[in-house]
Parts: sequence; C-alpha cells; structure tokens
Amino acid sequence: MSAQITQELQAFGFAKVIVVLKSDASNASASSIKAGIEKHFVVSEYSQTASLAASLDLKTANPAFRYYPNLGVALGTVNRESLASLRADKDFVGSVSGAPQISLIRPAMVANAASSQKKNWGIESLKVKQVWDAGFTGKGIFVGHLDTGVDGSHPALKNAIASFARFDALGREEKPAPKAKDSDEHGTHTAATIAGRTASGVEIGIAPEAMLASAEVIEGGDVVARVLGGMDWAVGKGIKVLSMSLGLRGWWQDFLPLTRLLRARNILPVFAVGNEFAGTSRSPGNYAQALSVGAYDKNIQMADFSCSQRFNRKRDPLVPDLVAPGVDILSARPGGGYQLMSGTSMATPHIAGLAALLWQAKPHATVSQIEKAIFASCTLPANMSMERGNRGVPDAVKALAALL
Amino acid sequence: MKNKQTKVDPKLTSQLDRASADQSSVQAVFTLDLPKKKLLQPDEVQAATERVLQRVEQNVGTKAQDYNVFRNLGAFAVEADEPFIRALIDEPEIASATANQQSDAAETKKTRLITKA
Repeated sequence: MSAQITQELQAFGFAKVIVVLKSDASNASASSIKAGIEKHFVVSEYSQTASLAASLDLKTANPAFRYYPNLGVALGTVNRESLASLRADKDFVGSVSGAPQISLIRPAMVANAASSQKKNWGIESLKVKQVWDAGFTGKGIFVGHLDTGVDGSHPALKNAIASFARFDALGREEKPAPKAKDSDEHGTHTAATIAGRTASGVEIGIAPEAMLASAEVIEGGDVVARVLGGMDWAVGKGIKVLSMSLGLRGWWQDFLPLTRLLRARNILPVFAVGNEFAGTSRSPGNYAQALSVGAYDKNIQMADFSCSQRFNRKRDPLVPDLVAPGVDILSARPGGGYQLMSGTSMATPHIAGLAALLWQAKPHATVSQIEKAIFASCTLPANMSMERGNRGVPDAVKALAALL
Repeated sequence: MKNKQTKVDPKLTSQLDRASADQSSVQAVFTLDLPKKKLLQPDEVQAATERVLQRVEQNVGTKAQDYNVFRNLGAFAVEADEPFIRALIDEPEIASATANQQSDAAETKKTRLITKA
C-alpha cells in the first residue's frame, strides 16, 4: 500500500485514490464501467466536499468518485474495506495509488491600513490589556518565529529581535548572521503581532516586551531542511513558544516526531491550521501535539477561509484547537508602515503572544499547563459551530486566572 | 535488522527512483528513532548521526556528499547518491525519511507545498 494511502487511512479513516482501469476495460461502455466500480468507493462525511456541502446546508448528493473515460481513470474516496475490494477487482482495476495533493499558495488577503487606524483589534478581543495591567507583557520570554524573515529596522520591531538567522539548503545557519530582513512581507506582519512594540501610538503586539528568535525559512524553495534548521536554531536560543504560520497541505507525518520533541523540551508549538476552508487542514498544525489556530473576524464570526477538520483519532480529534483574531489584522509592513492582513497566519501569532504573557506570569509552568490554561479560557460563541471553531475564543484574563 | 518500518515520504521514493536512472544525488531529511523516555543531548544526537553515516559509508562504499545535524531536534539532512540514501533508510536508528526538496524543479514557483497559512 502506498505510504500516502496508509497515512490518510490512519489519519482520517478514508483516503483519496487514483484508480487506473485495465486497458481492456475501455472496450466496455462508460456506464457499465461506472456501475462496475461504483461499489468500491465510499462517501465520507470527513471529505472536504462533504464538509463544504454540510456547512452550506446543501442537500445534493456528494459523489463518491469521478470517472474520466478519456483517461481511463477514476478518482474517489475509499475506506480500508472498500480499498481491499477495489484491489481485488480483477475485471476493471489495473492499479491503485494515492492522489497527489498539490497546493497553490493562497495569498493572505492584504489591504492598506487607513492612517487613522492605531490598534490591532485582536488586543481588545482577547482582553490582553488587563493582563498587561497586571504586569505581564512577555518580558524575559523568547518566542521562536519561523517565517519569511522580518524587517528588524521597523519601529515596532527594532527592539524586539533578539536573534535572526537564515539557512542554506541543508539547513545550516548562514554565517555571519545576516541583518534581519524580510524576503516578503508575511514575516514582518506575524512577528509584530507577537511582539511588536508600540511606536507612534500604534499598538499591534500581544506581548510587547517579549523577544523574538526569528528566522527566514520559507522563501527560496520548499526545503524541509531549512524549516528544521530554523526549528533547531530556535530551540537552541531558549525559546518557550514556537510560532509557525506555515504548513504542508493535508496530513503529513514528517514534522510529528519534531513536534513531540518540542513539547518534551517544554516548548509550546503554536501552528496555523491553514486557509483552505472547512474539511481540510495543514501539517504540522493538524497534529494532536500542536496548538492549532483558526481565524475569526471582528464580529466574532468564524472566518470562512479558516480550515477545520475532524480526524480519526482519540486524542484531540478536531482541528483547529481554538480560534483567534485573523481578519483585517493591523500589523507592521516592511519599510516602516502598517497594513491589514487576513489568514490563520495572522491568528497564530496572537496565541503565541498570549502564551508568552502566561509564561512570564508563571516561568516554571509546563507546556501542558500553559496550553490547558489557554483552553480553559475559551468560549465557543453562539454563532460558531464546534466543528469549525472547536473550543472557540480564548480570554487572556481567564487564562491567567486558570494558570495562577 | 530493524524492528520497525521507517516512514518514507512518497516524494523521496520517487526522487530516489529518478536519481537511480540519471545518477544524480538526492537530498533527504532523516529523523532518528529516539528513546521515548530519555531526551537525547545535542552531543548524543551528533554522535548517533555520525555513527550511522559511517556505517552506511562502509557498507555502500561511498560517502555522503554533505550533511547537517539538527542537534536539538534529533534529525539530520544529507545529500548523497541514491544507493547511500536507500541504505540509510534501512538503518535501525532511522525513524523517518523525507524529501528535502518538496517542489519538483518542473513546477512553477507558485506551486509549493510548504506555504504561508
């Protein structure tokens, strides 16, 4: 069985497969081929089409498979039993393989901020100011930030970057360390949401006295070793939280042992769940061992783009774990200005910042204590379904009380 | 003889198949099968990696062209020819093997697997 089919069956209880039909089957009519193979496919309530149909309240039937007569190929969903019957079908089936999941970049929504905008609304929504007033601003806490880089000269960030690094194709740190620069604009935005300082009256950071160990890991090719190089480097910097607004679409186990290892080192992994709507998610954000973050908007409604998915596992079967502000988020733009961005990428650093505040309040807390305090503070709004928002919206004041 | 099956990224498998045909080198990322109850120290990770690379070198008769150890993570990245990588996958210390280059060269810059969320 292909590794991809195995991984999907383990994670979801179903897998998407490509079936190449036998060449002599092409002599049969399309309708008899469809009728012949239909019995091998299942409609899964966990599939993305089913989730979308359910969220839109569509009553139309969800096809279990599609047949492409010109190619002599069928694409469909199977469970363990139906996969076995598919493989045993000597009349029609030539070969069965996993369906590749190629993902396109879906850019975060970006807009210019009006000059009158002075505040990230997420600060108020999460009740962070009351925690600052209690004396907890993230001071003394190091947060790992792996992204497209960061503009270290931005007024909101120039005192927030403790270290910056870039890595070669095998994940080796470039020496001497380069100046903190953003190869894009995504990293500057997410970094300032975690730890941006108030500059010219603009308030954007959740933990405005935390320090960042920030690394450029996702521009210049999709190289796993660069992400690992960044993780390894950040761990060596003594971080308490790792914020990663990136991921591989679908379920991939590649980062699972490393995510377990972060927790064993008492580092909270805070990962984005992805922007591809209901019924799907990204790894490592969809691991039970990660704190995965979805997005909501100013009206405390689930962002439609925010991923959500139920897994076939006992522990933490639903992702994201919770939701955070992720629509029209005001934060830093490389070069000195500010802009609005939307995405679970923007929600994730809010929770990384919140974790930094809590860790300052209880420096010897364990990763599970911090996570439990955040989870205990969550409320699911009446207009948000559990399948989409899971535990719902955290509250910094309640999380602090739960921890202390 | 190893007790557990190494988890191998299907993308790495296809890169190895291609490399076998055109004799090119392959970059892969490996995680070590770490003991559950003990966190390995960075020096132990380095030593374990070098031990397994040397063993494969002796068995296969070629060297890795380059490698880098993620000492805090219990993982390492290697660039080597195809027989070396296949032999490394079979070593008992290896828990998983992943293709380092996740995008095929033929794909455009816009088609990426690791993307911003």
